[in-house]
Amino acid sequence: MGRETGIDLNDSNYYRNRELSWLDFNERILEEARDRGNLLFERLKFLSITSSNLDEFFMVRVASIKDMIHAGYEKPDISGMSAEEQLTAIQKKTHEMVAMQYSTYQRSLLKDLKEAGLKVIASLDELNKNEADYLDKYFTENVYPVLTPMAYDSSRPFPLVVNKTLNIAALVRPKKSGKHAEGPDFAMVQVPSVLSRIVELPPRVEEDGRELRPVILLERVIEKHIDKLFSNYDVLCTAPFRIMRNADFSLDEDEAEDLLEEIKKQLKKRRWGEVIRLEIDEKADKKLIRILKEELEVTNEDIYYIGGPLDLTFLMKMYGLSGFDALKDAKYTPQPVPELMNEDGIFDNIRSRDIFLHHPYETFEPVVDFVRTAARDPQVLAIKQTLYRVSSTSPIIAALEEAAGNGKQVTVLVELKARFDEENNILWAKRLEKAGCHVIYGLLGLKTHSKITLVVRREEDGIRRYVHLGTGNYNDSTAKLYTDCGIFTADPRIGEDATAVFNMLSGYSEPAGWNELLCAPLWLRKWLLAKIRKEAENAAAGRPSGIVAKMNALCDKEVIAALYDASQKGVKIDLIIRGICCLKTRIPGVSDNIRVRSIVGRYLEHARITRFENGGDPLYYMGSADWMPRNLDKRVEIVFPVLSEENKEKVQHLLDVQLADNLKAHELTEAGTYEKPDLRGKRKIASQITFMQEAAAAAKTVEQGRDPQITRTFVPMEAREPGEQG
Amino acid sequence: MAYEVFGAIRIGSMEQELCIYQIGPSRGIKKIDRIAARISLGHETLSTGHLSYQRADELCRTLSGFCEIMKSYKVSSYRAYATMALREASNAPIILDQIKVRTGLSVSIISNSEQRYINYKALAIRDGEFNEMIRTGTMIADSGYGSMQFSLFDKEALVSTENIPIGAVRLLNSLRDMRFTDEQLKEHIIEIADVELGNYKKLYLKNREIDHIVCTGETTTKLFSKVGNHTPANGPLSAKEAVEICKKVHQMRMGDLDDLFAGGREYARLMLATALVYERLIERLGAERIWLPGTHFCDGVAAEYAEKQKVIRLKHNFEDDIVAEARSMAKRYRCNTEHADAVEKYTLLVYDATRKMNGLTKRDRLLLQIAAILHTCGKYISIKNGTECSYQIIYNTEMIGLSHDERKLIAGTIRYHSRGFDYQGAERIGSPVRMAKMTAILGLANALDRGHKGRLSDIRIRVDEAAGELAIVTDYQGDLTLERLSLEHQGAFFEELYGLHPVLHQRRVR
Repeated sequence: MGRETGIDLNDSNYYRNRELSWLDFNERILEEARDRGNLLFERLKFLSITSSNLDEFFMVRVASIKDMIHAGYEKPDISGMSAEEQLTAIQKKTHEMVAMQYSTYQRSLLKDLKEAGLKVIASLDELNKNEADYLDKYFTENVYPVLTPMAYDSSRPFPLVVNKTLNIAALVRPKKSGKHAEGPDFAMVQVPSVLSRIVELPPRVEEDGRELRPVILLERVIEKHIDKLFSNYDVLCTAPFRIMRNADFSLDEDEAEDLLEEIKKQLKKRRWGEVIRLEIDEKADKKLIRILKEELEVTNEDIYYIGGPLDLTFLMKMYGLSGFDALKDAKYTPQPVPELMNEDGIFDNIRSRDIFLHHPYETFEPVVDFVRTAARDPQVLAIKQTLYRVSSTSPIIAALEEAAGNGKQVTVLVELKARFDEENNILWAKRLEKAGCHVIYGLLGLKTHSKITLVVRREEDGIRRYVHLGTGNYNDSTAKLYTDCGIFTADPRIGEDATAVFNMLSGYSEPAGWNELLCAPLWLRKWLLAKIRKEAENAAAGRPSGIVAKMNALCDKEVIAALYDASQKGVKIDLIIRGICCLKTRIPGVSDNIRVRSIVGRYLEHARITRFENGGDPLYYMGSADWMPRNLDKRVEIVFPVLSEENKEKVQHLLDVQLADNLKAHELTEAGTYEKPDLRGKRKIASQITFMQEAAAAAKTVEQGRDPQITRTFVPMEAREPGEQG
Repeated sequence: MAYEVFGAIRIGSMEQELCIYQIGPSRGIKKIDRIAARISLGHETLSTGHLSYQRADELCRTLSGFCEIMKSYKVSSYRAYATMALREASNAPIILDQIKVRTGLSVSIISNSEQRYINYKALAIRDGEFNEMIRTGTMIADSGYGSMQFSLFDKEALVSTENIPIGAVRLLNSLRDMRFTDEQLKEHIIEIADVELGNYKKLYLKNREIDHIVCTGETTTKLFSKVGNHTPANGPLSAKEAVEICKKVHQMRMGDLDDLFAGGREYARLMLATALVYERLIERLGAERIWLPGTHFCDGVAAEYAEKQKVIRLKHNFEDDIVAEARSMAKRYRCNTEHADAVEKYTLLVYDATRKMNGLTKRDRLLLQIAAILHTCGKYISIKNGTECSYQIIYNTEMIGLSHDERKLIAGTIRYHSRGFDYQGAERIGSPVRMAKMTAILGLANALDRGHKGRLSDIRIRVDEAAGELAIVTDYQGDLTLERLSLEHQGAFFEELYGLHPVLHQRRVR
């Protein structure tokens, strides 16, 4: 793609390392936690998210990079960094990030929480007599019975420290050991996860008459009573610590095929269970640290000294404390979908037009209703669905079970490999099987990431197919937290394709051709590259061109190079990328025409939408795939077009609002940093809030249109046939 | 509901498929699903002569899956056909039984000619295009894995049809044991194709212009759509465009072909062979336009079913094709046309007169007609042993639209029509009762033109039940001794079967 300018678009300088880009994303969330424009408890939530995100990052990504180093894998990444260089850079950045997390917590949030009436007791000295007594009793009755203290000395091996658990390490010395005592011994106890991390104490009345709700963290309670656990010893010092191992997870699917080969060859070199991070209280005793370091075999760079409570995910629980409603975002109820607010059944509605859904602004209920109605409808022959991550009490699963019970042919593709969810998935997959569903457990070597439901119905004038396609999982819980889009359609072109998708997923041959759907891993990449190229051609020929794409991550080199090439030819490209972005903007002569923005808000941005200007006749697509190698090459993904004009307008509006967002959007600068736009003189727009308001208003309009109090008209009922039941 | 859901299964050599159709009077035939699996049965049959348990097991599993899918559509009827892979497997009956036991499916093995016939039905559902196309010289080149079927149409009628053993699997299989480079392989395929095409051209295309070639068959459609991005909806291609697409295939490396068709190396070679054969075919025949209708065997199965159920009516008359085919065969063997025409006429008259009592079907009438047209074709080889030779020729010449059994029936009818009927011999050939009945009719008809003079061209034939006779009435006033003698001779067998004594009445003309 090198042009006469001599620019080589494959130059690694034009690409950003994906891990560092991911850390940037976590920083943006951290920024939300620091933003006083957000309500206090929402900030707690954001901080908690940065912490759980970082945990996942270590377990999956850092573990992978360490594997590469052990395997002697030398191929540089997209940005030209070796595995070692990446690790060094990651460690530097994460250390800074952790410092920032805790300064946010200690210096800003704690103060504001106290102001708001919630006092987090950090030091035991802060307890008054009353509270100390309360804790003694709480400890004896609730905590003590579930603790298992473990000691380590010459006769006992070093105890097993469970991945991700919070533990308290202590140095202890036997009592009455006298002068001949040997060095102190190591002992530890796991902070039980069955108990709430936050222990609420009886309310306090301050001197100024204000009532305070004091809380203390469970590990502090245990530390306070640690001598009770080691009664024959003197406890010299204690410190909470936590480790992360790479043991529980096989290699991340994102890694290159050749790496897997490399590692297979050198299987012995892979250190299972290796500790890749140790977090410990910064005030911990030097000797204690030394023992842990030696026994867990960690390097200095892997140790994180924490100036505050370990594992900030407890803040999510704190968010859940009753009260403080004024400090949390007002609860938002997903709105009914206007097109479905009528007396007709869901199939009638879908038959009359394609219906666009925008969650969580609009309710996910129609999707559940779609499957549930299909399960009970005598005309329905078959229901086919892909399920990736499903909530444990999913009404969809219940509906599918019912459908099988009603004699429908139910085919469910269950993706077991959904990260962190495997056990849960196996459980309900077995349940479905028992109910008589035909369960397909994924495809060899490919994760099924597409979200598609097909209902085949035998109607008066023929067999008709109804399809739901979405960008998000069929999970009614996450549908309240993730922003996703979906479409209901009875378009026969899509119906045929949907059937072909399920035939392929069942192991049959590919169809002779596709009408409208684009599927990975076989067709999507080529299609995407061709579409980008087409825009470049249009720009070069002076026809209208442009790309707007919204996704979660962009890190595929071939796609980025194609975007650079398009930019060079004059295509204006607007990208809305929540997380990783390996593309660099505004490199002169390379990406002058590309803008990247990232939106971090109360809902997790999750929809994937692409708009191609297409010479003045814009095309809109949505789907399940990010522009990452894993999505394009190793997953079953579906990208689908938005066909009706009415829905195209809706999608255009969605993109317009997101591109206009200036409150929750960050722009990627030439320097590679993400900055919020300058607000001076501009109307403030937060896209998520706009969508909430619009959805509520749209539902209300329909509601009012039916309310005779407002319309001042009545709608006469249709005449009934005699004998028809009311 | 005013439609029926029908399933058509094809157990092909390379691919097995299930198509689901919605068949109704208002909307005709609509395909609503197609499921295909790829088990390479043909290769095994061609190289070992039978199908292994493993293959059969694989096949049964796939077919069970098909059954599930049919159940999910609440399919009310189905037809399942197996082609070359089973037809040529020595253990076919065992495999069919396994399929029946394990999946409940009744699978029929069809002959090449029946298979081709069904393929034409698939074409003929598209009435307009098909009829338009066959107005001028058109060849339907139907490619299968084992062979290709070339059928010539002119002025809306079938002229000839011939099976040429240059199917891709067969070609590759014949070259399998040699160690060839890809280039050498291509050369050999071209050579074999050229030899077969040359022979065909000499025999059938002497003075014929071919304007169009209609290319059917699963591989062909796939080849042109994958390589040339040409779908049936794009309409016909020019010969040049088509040749270019074929050329593109054999200029590709095997690895790229493999990627393109995603079916493994063997499938890639198959596509290569198909492309080479088509390229030679188009170049040697000099057609102008190439039409890829994209029809499938299963479409034909559905059409045939729908036609039988009287849900649809195909405009194209396939029986005319069969008759045309027989006539062109008679011409090839230089049959005495005048005599054949007379016998054909008398045969049909006897059939029609005895329609209510002969217990034969309308289809049998067609078979009788074919038998009459072809009954002397063996004379081309031996005047003395003409009848036996006719029997052999018909027994061994495939005719599109006729099943093997039907052809044998015709051959047997001809064999015994002039010598005494041999029940044991007929038993061996099959359908002895029908054969006997048909033999009696053909024999009688032949006797009526014993002199080969067409003397009785005006006859009327009717059954006179009261007299217990088949009255054959003519106004011919000349000498009919030869016919009377011959009738006397043949009449006995006719009477034995139908209880009617054939009597020739010469009406006095005043």
